[in-house]
This record gives sequence, C-alpha cells and structure tokens, in this order.
Amino acid sequence: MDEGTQTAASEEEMKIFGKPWTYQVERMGPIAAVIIFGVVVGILEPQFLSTRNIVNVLYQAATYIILAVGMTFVITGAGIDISVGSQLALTGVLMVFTIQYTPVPPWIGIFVAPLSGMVLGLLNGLFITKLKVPDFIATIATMIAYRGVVLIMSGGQVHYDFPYAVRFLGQYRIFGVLPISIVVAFVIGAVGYYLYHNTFFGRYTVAMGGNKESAILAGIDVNKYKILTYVFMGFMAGVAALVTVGRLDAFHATYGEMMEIDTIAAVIIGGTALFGGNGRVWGSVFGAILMSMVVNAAVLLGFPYFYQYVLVGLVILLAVSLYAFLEARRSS
Amino acid sequence: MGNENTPFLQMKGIVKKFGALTAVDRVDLEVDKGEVLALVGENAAGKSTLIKVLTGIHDQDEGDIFIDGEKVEINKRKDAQNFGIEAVYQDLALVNQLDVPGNLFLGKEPSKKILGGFFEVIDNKKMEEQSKTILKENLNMEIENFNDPVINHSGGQQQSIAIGRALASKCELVVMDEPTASLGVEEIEMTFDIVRNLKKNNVGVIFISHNLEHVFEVCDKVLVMRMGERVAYKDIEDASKEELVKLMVHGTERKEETA
Repeated sequence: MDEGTQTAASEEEMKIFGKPWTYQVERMGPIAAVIIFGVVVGILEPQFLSTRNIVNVLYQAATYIILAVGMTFVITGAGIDISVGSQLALTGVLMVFTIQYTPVPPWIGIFVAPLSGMVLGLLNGLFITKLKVPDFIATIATMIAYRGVVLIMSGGQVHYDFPYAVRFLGQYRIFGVLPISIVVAFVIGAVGYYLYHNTFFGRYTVAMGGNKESAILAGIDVNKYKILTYVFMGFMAGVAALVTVGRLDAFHATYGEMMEIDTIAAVIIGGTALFGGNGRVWGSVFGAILMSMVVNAAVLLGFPYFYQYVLVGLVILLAVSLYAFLEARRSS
Repeated sequence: MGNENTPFLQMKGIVKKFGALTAVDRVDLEVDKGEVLALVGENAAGKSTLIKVLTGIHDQDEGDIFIDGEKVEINKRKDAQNFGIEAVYQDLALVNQLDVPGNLFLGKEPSKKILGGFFEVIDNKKMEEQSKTILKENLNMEIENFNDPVINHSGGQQQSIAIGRALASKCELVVMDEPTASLGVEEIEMTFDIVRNLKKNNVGVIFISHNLEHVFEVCDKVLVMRMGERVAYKDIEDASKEELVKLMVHGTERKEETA
C-alpha cells in the first residue's frame, strides 16, 4: 500500500520525539538558538547572564516581540508590512497629542495608540485589497506617507514628560524588577499563538497565505482576512508605541525608523515562511529576543557600534540559510 | 414527470458565454441522489464551465438551476454548499500547510463559544474527532500522522482528503473533476471505492473524466458534451465505448437535443 511506502520513506529520517529531526530543528530552532547563544556569550562574558542583563535584553526586546507577533500574521497571510515603524510613530504622536492638547484623561488617551493603529492597518488593507496595490508597494507608500504626517504633526520637536498613564506600560516594574512591558510582550505572544491555532482569523490567514485559490474555493473571504491581518498589525504597532513612548518618557518623530527591518528579521529568524502559509508565533518571539541578545552581546563584548549591524545581518543570513537547508531536506 | 420523481438536481438550458465564445450552449443536466453521472467530452467541451456554473464560481447567462424541483440561484460557492453541492477539484484545492482535519473542514470548521459566549473559536477537538469518523466510515482509511501538513501525505491520500472534504458537511451531491487523472492504479481503485460508497450512502456524484474505462467502471449514466453542447445523455448500459468516442469527437446524435 502507499501508506507502507510512506512510512518506509520517512523512517530513513532520524526522529526526535516521533517527528523528523528537520521538523524539530525548525520548530525548536529559535529557542535553541537563544539558549546556545546565551551560553556561549555567557562563557565569554559572565555578566551577560546576570539577572539585570537578562531583564535588560528582554526589556529591549519587548517592542520587537509585540511587532513581530503582528507581523507573523501579515507574513503568514502572504503579505508584508513595511510601514510598521511609521505606524508606531504615528500612533505614538496621535496619543501624545490627544493627551497633551485635549482634555481627554490620560488613562483614556492611551487607547488612542492601539485604536488609531487599527485604522492605519485598515487603510493598508484597503489599499491592498480594493486598489489592488501589491502589499510591499502599498506599505512602502504608507511608510513614507505616515512618516510624513508624523513630521508635520510633531514639527520635528521632542515631546516629553508624560503622565503616569503613558509611562506605566513602559516603565512599571513588577516587584521593582520585572518590567511590565516584558509581561505584556509574552502575553501577546501567548494570545497570538492561541489566535493562530484556534480562531477563524488564524486558520484562514494560513489558508489564504498557503493557497489563496483553495481558500477562495473553500468559500473564505480572503480580502476580509487580508485586511484583518493588517488591522491586527496596526493594533500591535499601537501597543508597541505605548511601550516605547512610555519607556523613554519622550516622543520624537524618528521613532520606529528601521524597525520594519528588525521586525521582519525577527519573524524570519523565528521560522515563519516569507512566502506565506506557515507562521510560528513563538518563533517570532524568540527571534526578537535573539536579535536583542545579539545587539546586547556585541555591546558587552566591546564590538564597535557599526559592527553590530554586520553581526545582526550575519545572524539573519545564517538563520535563513538554515531554514532553506531544512526545506530542501524535507522536499527531497 | 411527477413531483415525487423530480431528480435532486436539474440544470435547464444553461448558457455561459465568455465574450464571443459560447462555452456552454443550452445544456440540460440532471442527476439524482445515489446516482453517478459521468460528464464526458474532449478538452474545451464545456464540462468545467458547466460545473463552475453549478458550484457558483461562474454565473450563467441563461438557463435555470432546480434543486428538488425548486428554482434556485447559485451565485457564490457558499450558495452551492448550502444546497449540499460540493466539488472536488482536479488540483484538489488543498492547503498544503494545514493538517488533515484543517483541510477536511476548511471553510466550515465546527466552532465553540468561549469567554461567556463573547468569542467564537474553532473547536479543534471536535473537528479531529469528526475527521477520524469521516476517514474511517466514509473513506475506509486510516491516516498516520493525522496532524502533519497534508503535503507530507501521498497523492492518493490527498485525493481522499479532498473527497473527504465534501463529506465533512452534509452533502447531497459531489462533483469530481478528473478524480483519477493523476493517480496510480491502486489509488484509482481506492477512488472507485469511494464513489461506490457515496452512491450507497445516497449521495449523488457527477464524475468528470477523460477516461471512458473509468466511466464504465462506476457510472450509471453518461452525458456527453461537445463544443459547449450536450450531444448525448443515456444509461451507461445502453452505451458502448466506441459510440461515446464518436459522440465526443463528432457529436453524431446532436439533433436529439433541444433546449
């Protein structure tokens, strides 16, 4: 029977916990990379593994984790959002203006960030589905346009000294140690994982990104889910803005620049397929942490600032070539 | 014809044009539950277009569709599904990255309410249980690695999963577009078994095929199309292979057909 040949073929592969090793490496790769990298750098520089430094690494990673979870859905749906950095800045400035220039109480004003993010994401989604602009082009356009609005609104000035409501998510530390933004980031990771595996949103995003024609034939409204992924991304950009502005207790028009690259890199390192249909939410979380670790380790090990870019670039190349290798193994 | 004997599906005088090209020209089709109708014809005979009209992918320019004798509008895939009409496409239309239950129930996942009924989410557990039942009882197959992406399964298994999808919802009629075209001998036998099983369960089947031997193997009736027109419709027992080939190529019994 064909089932027999199927088993015979897969038995040649070494198995770990009943699954082919390629599958396990792909699934556990990001977390394994975090641990291995941590141990190696920890041996070279023990300070790297101090509680203070670990908290610091996660603290720096929080923004990227939040963005990366949103981006995981966009990329899984065979899209890409280049405008996340600009969305972060624009939702940030909208929140700051609401709180500084309107009588809206700060505790309510902070909701402006995620809500306006959803609107920005909705616009991205509409440009892509209704105007038929490719995802990449549409979000490059909005990256520039959104950034322009930020510059117009803020006039390039630094805004600072915000009420506690704004600083809370960025600065509050549980027991005076653990920043709440880290907890928020991990909760978002867990929620993202649940959404991915248990909701219609997650399932149809996979279907749409994996095989758009099949999804349409199954009666799925792919435009609706395409838009939803961008709305979700926008929401996350707003939350990330909240965390960033709060942490720094300041706002500047350049916030979020280059963040789209780091976010996409974190998602790719995490094992999400760039052409859609296969996302790894926890992979993205650990991908973001790994990126943060690399930068942090470079500083601790005394790499000059410019060399850090080279290092991060190499990590991305390494991760992607590893996945390509595993993919080739699997399809052979 | 009395009301009691109305077949499950009737398509009457269907016309579908693409610009100047008339892909389907005044075609009648009928098929009842528990009946296997072969739809044969050469390439570009209009078989696929006719089926796409039936499944809601194309709108017809003329003609009507009747379910249980009542005139219905089928404008979307969902409409067809609501009438119990499912299709298994030639390329199977699976999502490679999803596992077996994910594909069986794509687009119609069982749901459950959480957080006090506020959110509706997919009931993965129920879906897996129902998937096992469908595979075992309707398709008589056991799949290993149930939760692996379907791309890891063999061609025959993928074919079965695609057919199983039609059965995941309460369906009355399954349209199979070239189900045996890309399969090996054993897998073709498996597909025949599935078709016979459907018939036994009183499900109607429209079996589109190039291969007349396969048609004679499992079908009850045959409808021949040529250049968009219906050129013959007869019981399989009254037809011979030579005759069908002639009809497909030359359309000799064309005058029999009137809209």
